[in-house]
Amino acid sequence: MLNLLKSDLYKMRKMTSLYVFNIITVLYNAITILFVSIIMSDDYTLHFCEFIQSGTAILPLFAGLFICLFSASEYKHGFIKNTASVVSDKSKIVLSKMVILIIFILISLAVYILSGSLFVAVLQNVTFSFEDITVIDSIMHISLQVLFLFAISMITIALVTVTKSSTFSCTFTVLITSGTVKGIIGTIWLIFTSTEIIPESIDISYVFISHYLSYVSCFGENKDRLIGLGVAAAYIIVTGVISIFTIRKKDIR
Amino acid sequence: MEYIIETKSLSKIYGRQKALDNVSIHVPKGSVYGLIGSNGAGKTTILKIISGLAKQTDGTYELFGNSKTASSAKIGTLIEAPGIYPKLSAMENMRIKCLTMGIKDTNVPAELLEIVGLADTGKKAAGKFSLGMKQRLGMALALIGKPELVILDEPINGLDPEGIIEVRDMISKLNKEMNITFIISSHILEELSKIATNYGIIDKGRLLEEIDSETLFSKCSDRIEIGTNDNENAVKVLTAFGVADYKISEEGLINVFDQSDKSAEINSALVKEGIAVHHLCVKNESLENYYISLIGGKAGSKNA
Repeated sequence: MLNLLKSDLYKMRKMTSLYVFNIITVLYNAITILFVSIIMSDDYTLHFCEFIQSGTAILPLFAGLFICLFSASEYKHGFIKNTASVVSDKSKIVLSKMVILIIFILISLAVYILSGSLFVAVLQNVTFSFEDITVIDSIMHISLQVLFLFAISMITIALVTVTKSSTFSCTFTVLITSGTVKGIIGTIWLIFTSTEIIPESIDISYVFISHYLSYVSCFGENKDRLIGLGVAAAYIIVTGVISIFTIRKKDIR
Repeated sequence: MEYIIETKSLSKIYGRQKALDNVSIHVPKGSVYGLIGSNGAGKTTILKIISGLAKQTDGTYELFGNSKTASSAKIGTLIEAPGIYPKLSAMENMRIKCLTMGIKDTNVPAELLEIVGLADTGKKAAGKFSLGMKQRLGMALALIGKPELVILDEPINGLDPEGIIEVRDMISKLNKEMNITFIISSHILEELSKIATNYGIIDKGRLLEEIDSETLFSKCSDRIEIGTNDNENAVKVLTAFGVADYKISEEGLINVFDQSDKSAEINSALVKEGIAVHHLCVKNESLENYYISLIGGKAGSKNA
């Protein structure tokens, strides 16, 4: 496992998308904070947790796309065939990808926070607010973000492992991170609830790893956090099991 | 004889299609085993099962005399594609594989690239290599970890004549100098015949024949095939006639390889000495014809 991880870390360093996505993240911060600075004539205070939350606009997409490109390239170039034949337990291949994903998420989140802090420090009329939050709150907030980013990107790992297709997996990643999939299913759900086939009391919003669930888990009550944690954990477990089962039991073609 | 690979009634079914049907091959240690068959015959399927990339539907196989999967560190593979990252250099690709296999010696990539003739590629991206160079890089990757067995799936596919010679010479050299056993699949019998020591001929998922190179060549060379009721005296007559290169087959037929254009004279000489000749035939079968007749012959008998 350690050998696989070293190999994957080496490959990660050599991937252009690692640097491209982080550069875009910096530019995103630059543009949005600059935009806020320009349109707000008076000083504007941005709550730190809301700043973290606004990263869900791009971070899930980049995490999903990165791991999709990383994993799919192994199948595309035949590397997986010549690796799987020398690895005693194929599930380690999936576990290694999961670790790489976490590392990417931590890097991209760090880049997001640091670049945002830098631009805020440079621009005089925008400041971060840490009102009503403690260090522990901040750590919990960031940890939840990492968990949600990981959970939604695990869907991509499962898709690549099952389909071996980067096109399909990347497309689906874009759809789920943009909320399109949630929107379609939500609309269908609305039809069923309006016709009273399904009771309205069942709230489907909690089922999806989305901006809504992430926001509620970070700013809601303990009950909301537990629901969010449970949903994220369920996604991670299910997609992890699917990925490991596929790579171990199915022939690598 | 020690076998490094032994399969026993290996079968594989994909959906409704039987890709392999009761295949039992025996790969001797230190040999270059050629797995010959047309496209879709089942060659790659066998290699994938042996490599652990696919699971057999039925049957078993042993690697290094062990029915369980042998230490994967003893095997190097090149299955279908070389498995290289096109944007990385040869050295970087080698480093990735070394890291995957836990090879700490930093000299290994350079040494292996030297062996395969890619030492001077520098920072050139592997995606810009010629097909022959990519195949050689794939072989270098397969050699990481000093494997005892290297599995190559169609390594000469798509190569130009120069590239084929390079790959062929390299396999031969590694087999002789490092005593590495190779199992190579190909549908180009003529090329494989220049390096293989043993052959497994497969068609439509079935093993038609397992044969060593000596026997194969004896079956294909220009020769006179003579059947007599007294081989001992026949041999004396042939030797007196001037025949130096001959062999008695398992079926009891005398195969004369030199003076194969003097069948009439040889027949007269035998008859003159009172040796009854019940069978005399001049054969000059090419490897391809032998292979085609084997496939055609088996198909015919199967249909009957």
